Amino acid sequence: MTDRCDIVAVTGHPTGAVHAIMAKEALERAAAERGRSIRVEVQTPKGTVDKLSHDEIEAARAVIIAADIDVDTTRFADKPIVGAGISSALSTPAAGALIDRAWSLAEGLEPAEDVARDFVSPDSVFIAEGFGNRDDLLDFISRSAVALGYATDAATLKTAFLKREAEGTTGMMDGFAVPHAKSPTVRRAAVLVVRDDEGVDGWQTMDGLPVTVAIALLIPEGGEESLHLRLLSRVAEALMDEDFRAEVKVAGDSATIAEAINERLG
Amino acid sequence: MVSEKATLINPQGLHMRPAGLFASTMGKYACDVTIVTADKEVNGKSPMALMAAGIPCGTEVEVRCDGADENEALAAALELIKSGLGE
Repeated sequence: MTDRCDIVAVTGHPTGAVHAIMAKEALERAAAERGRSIRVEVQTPKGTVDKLSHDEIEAARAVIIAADIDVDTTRFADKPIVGAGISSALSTPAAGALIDRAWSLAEGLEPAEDVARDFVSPDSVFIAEGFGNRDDLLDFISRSAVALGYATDAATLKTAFLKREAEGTTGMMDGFAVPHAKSPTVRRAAVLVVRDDEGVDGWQTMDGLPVTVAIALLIPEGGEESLHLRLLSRVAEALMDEDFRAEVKVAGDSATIAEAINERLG
Repeated sequence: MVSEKATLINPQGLHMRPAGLFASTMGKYACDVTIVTADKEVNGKSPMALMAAGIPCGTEVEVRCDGADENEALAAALELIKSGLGE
């Protein structure tokens, strides 16, 4: 029985084994620097060396593919995975960056013990104008979520948001809406905020006022069941406070909004 | 004033959609509607207040109705909760 390794990786190059082995060694050094264990499979034109076993894959928290060849990733189906060209793993610092990314994905998928951590970063708050209508705004949120690493596929995420809207609008009051999506494409629970002071069309609200602030909740599948409810209830509680609503609406920048919301979610 | 207890069976608890459904249904009645749990009393006609309460699945809540049509309102509320609030 193999020892459990934190990370499994596959390296590969079309013309020979040299690069693949360099990448393997860089990954091993970087992992050791970080106190993580790693098992690396090397695919060469002559065959696969140290092929990963099913048990090893099962036991790992994350997967790294550093290869310039196509690697079949179906055997890694449910694992957080980071893929890059082999040049991204040839030096220890570069390999380290891959390991850090893979690890933060793995951490993000762990069920959160408590809602108390920063769900909103200033990077996920957008103050802009001219989003037009609700669907365009949800499209923007979905694509941003992928760019920020919170989700894998923008189209799937957008569909999840729209499906939820079809069940009943998330437009609330005083210009606030709380679109939310629970989907397998969500990698970690996160909150994105968009403020469009012009108002967004095509979004029904409980009080009839146009939506100017969308607080979007992304919920991963699996993980803690009550996270969805807790996030939503804290956002709702915050929205009942006139001071909070005013704070978000007059804030001059993303950091101020992020802080205001994080205070309420924590 | 009339009241009765019921247990929430929605798997995800009283999140936005069931909260909205409950509030809009109760909104049709003239009486006051209050949802009482172990640690809070919430206005049953306010979707925001219900959502903010974040009541999880399995919680036994007391529904209180006070006013002209309190009996009809209570009956409707219990029916809704017991049938899973549309989920």
